[in-house]
Amino acid sequence: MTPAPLSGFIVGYSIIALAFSIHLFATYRSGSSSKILIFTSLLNTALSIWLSSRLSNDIVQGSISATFSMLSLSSLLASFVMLKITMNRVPGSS
Amino acid sequence: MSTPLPAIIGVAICVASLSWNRMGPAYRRRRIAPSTFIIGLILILSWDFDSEITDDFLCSFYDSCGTSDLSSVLRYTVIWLALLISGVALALNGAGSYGDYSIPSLSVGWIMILASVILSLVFHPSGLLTVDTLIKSLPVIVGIVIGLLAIIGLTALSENFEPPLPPAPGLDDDERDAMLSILAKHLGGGGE
Repeated sequence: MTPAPLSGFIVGYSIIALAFSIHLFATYRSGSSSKILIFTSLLNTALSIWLSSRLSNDIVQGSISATFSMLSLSSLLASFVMLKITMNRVPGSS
Repeated sequence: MSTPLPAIIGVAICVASLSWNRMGPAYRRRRIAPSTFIIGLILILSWDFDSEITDDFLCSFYDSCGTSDLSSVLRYTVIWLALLISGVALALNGAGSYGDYSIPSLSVGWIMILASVILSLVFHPSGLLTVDTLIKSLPVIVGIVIGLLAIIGLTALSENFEPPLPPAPGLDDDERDAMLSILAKHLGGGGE
C-alpha cells in the first residue's frame, strides 16, 4: 500500500512526464530532434505511468480532484493581475 | 459516451496543439494548431460528466474502484476556466493591450472574470477550499515541480551526450512565403 503523499507525488510526476513526451513527439523534426532526449523521456514516462497504474483508484482520483480544487485559486490571482493591467491602461492614468 | 477514453485522447490532442502553437508561424503544424485544439476540446466535452466514474475506463485502468467527486470537479473547472479565459481576453482587448480602449469590452470582460472567481471559489462542488484540500494537493504539485526539474536534467543530459546538432534546414517555399506575408503585415511592406 503506497502512502497517500507518495501516490500524489507519482500522479503529479506522471502528468508532467506524459505531457513532455507528447510535446517531444508533436514538435519532432527529422534531423533536429534529440534522439537521446526522446528515448530518456519515453523511459521516464513509461516508468511513471507504470508506477501510477499500481496506485489505488481512490487516492489517484482524490489527488487529481484536490489539485483541480486548488487550481481555482488561480482565478483570484488572474483577477489581481488583470486589475493591475486595467488600472495601468486607463486613458490619462500615465 | 460514458468512458473518459475520448476525453483522455482529447487532453493529449490539446497538449500536442499547444506544442504546435509554440513552434512558430513558419511551420505547417502551427497553422493547424487552433483547429486541432478545438477538436481536442470537443472530445473532452463529449465525456458525459454525469456518468459514474466507478463504471468506466479509469476503474479498470487503476485496478480498483471507488466513488469520487472528480467528474463534478472537472465540470466546474471547465466552466470557470472558460469564463476566466474569455473574460481575460475581452478585458485585455478592451484595456487597449491588443486594440483600442473599449469600455463595453472591458466591462463584459470584468463581469466574466468576477463570475469566474465567484464560481471557482464560492460555488465549488467540494465546498469552500480547506487546509485539507491544500494538504491533499501539495504532493501532486511537488510531483509536477520535481517532474519539471527532471525534464531540465534530461535535456542537459542529452545535450552533453550528443554532438552539437547541424544548422536547422532552411525554410521551403511555402514556409518562406508564410514568413514574408507575416513580415509584410507587421512592417507594412509589400512582402518583397
